[in-house]
Amino acid sequence: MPIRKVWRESRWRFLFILAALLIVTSASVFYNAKAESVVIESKDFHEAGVRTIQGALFLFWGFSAMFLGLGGFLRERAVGSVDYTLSLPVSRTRWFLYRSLNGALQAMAAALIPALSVSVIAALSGGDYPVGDALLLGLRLGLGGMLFYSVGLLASTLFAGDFTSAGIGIAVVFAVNNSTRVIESLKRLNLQDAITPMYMIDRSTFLIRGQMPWSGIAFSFALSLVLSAWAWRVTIARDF
Amino acid sequence: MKAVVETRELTKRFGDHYALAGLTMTVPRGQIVGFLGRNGSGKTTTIKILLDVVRRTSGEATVLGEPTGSVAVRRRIGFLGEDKRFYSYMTVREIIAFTRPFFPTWRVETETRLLMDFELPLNRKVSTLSKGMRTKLGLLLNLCRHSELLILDEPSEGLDPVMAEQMLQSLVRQAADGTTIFFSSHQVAEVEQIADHVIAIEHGRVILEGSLDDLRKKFRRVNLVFDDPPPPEAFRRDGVDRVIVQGRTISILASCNVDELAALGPLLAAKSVDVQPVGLKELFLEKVKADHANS
Amino acid sequence: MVYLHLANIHVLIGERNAFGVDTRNQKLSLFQAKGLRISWRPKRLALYHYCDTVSPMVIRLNPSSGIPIYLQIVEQIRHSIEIGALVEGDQLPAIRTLAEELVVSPNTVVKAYDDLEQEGLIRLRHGAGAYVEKGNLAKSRLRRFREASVVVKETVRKLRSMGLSDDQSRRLFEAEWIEEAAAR
Repeated sequence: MPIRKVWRESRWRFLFILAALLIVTSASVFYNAKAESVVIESKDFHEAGVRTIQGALFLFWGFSAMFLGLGGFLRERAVGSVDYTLSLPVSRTRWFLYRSLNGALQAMAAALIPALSVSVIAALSGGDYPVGDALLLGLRLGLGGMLFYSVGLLASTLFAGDFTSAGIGIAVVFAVNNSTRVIESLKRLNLQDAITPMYMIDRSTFLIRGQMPWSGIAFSFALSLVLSAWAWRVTIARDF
Repeated sequence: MKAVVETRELTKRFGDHYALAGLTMTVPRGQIVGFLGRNGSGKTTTIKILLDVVRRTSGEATVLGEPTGSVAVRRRIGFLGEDKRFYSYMTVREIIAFTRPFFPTWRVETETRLLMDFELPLNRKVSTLSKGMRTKLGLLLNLCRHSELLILDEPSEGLDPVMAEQMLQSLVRQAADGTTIFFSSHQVAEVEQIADHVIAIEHGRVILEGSLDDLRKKFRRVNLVFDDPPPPEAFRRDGVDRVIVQGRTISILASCNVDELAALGPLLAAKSVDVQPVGLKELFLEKVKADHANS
Repeated sequence: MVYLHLANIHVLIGERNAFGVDTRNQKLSLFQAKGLRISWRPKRLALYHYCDTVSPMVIRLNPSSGIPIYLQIVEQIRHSIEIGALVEGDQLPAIRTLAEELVVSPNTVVKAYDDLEQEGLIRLRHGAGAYVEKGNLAKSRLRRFREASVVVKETVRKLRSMGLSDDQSRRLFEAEWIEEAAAR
């Protein structure tokens, strides 16, 4: 089954990334929790949780999402199986759909599961971080940050070589992120601010209080669809 | 539908280099067709266009009557590329199980028989197989489909003589079941051995095409020896491809009017007249030289 | 006909045979398969695996000679009949079997068998193979062949006495035959 092949080829990478993110998340939670006080109170996990998901998880997940977009026909050409794959009675569009959906779901899972793990860690340590909050923040990250994934997806269709694609993707994201932070007129477009704003978090309880930044998320998600469509067009047109 | 593959003025440009420059050919149904050409003549590009791996620049190409790129047609054909690496992480068993559902005409009896004949180890990963084993695996993945058309790109590449013969034998067996075989090769000998029909290309264009038996019956080399050889122009006529003067001998490759040429001998006071059959290698090399001379 | 060498019985009785094929369900179908010969094969590559050489005549082909392969087959089968290697009633291999054995296109064998049938040397029975034709045709061919070899013997002697080398004589003959063939 084509979809099982796609999953199988991405399985270890996904699991490795998930494991890495879980480690990063738990480390960040403990670091943030311990940093403020010696005695861990319930409140500390709230702050630690938020800071983790908005900070460490955002950063590492952003990179990982890009890696999850790698693969595709260019990679198959490098390992020598592209002729066989394309000779099968499956259209390029269908292959692309399977690959991109598989990667997107993995990216989503890689955001949600570590986010949820914050609640688990908090609970295990005698504290508390609401599952609902974790879920919402994870969702916010995954949906809004799908843009990172689609940058990786697009790069994988444009450039042969995993490292080249990843490198260019990272460079582009850095460039955009920094320019939108520095250049006044572009400040509105900064992704991190758009999808992980602090205004929705209560400053004292560090729980979600306000509205989710749906417009920011929607805009970012729409952009990721545009990039994915671009990646699809490139895949359809290319000679392999 | 008499032709399983047809191309008309097929062109493919890579940058400013034309890999195919107006390729027009027909692959007749039910035959074994050899696609003969030197390295870089455009064989692989043509095959890739037929499979829609590469897109043509201009011209037309159809497979089983449908334009290239039809997904439905790919269910009715088999393909074995030059690079037989497949999915290196799968085992033999897994890649067979992966391929099987795509093809409604797959026969499990063939699968069982070929697994035995080819001695393929089911639990070994594809990456650990030798090139010969991978070719056999590729053949199995294709022969079990019992498709109408089987396209192969340099199938004997990297095979020792015994395996090459085994490979040709499986193709012959498949042809007996009615599959049209279209295989590219740069080895004249194997084309001569199993092909009914040959299409030879050079610089992206067809230089020789026809049933092998027709070519064998048509072409002759006429060697005439003179004390004082007349100018080569005296022998130019329809069907004369090349006239070579070698010392006192005039050597002519002709596709028709052979008896006319042979009769010219005594007319022009030749000391000796010699008519020989021509093999595909000689024919192909001559056509290549003629193509280079003309371009 | 299916027969089973004793050495292989243990290989098939287990759940999986030596090649990992699950034979539990396949065992019956292998036995029932028509014409499949199961034999013990040592580690060497099985080249003509499906069957050992079945054809009752010796055929050596030269695909590069420029002479159509089917004509070579026709000539060699005719020769086999003429020297008695094949006699009337002998069964020739099926088209696909001979094609596989010689590793030539089945269409080539079809042409060869058609020609031989036209000459009356063999009879193709639909679905039942090809048989060497009985009767006068073959016998009279044999007689003609014997007479012809006498003629050839004399001619060779004559040409040699004229001072021609064997090579020169051969060329003269070939030129003559090819001219005839082209004229036809």
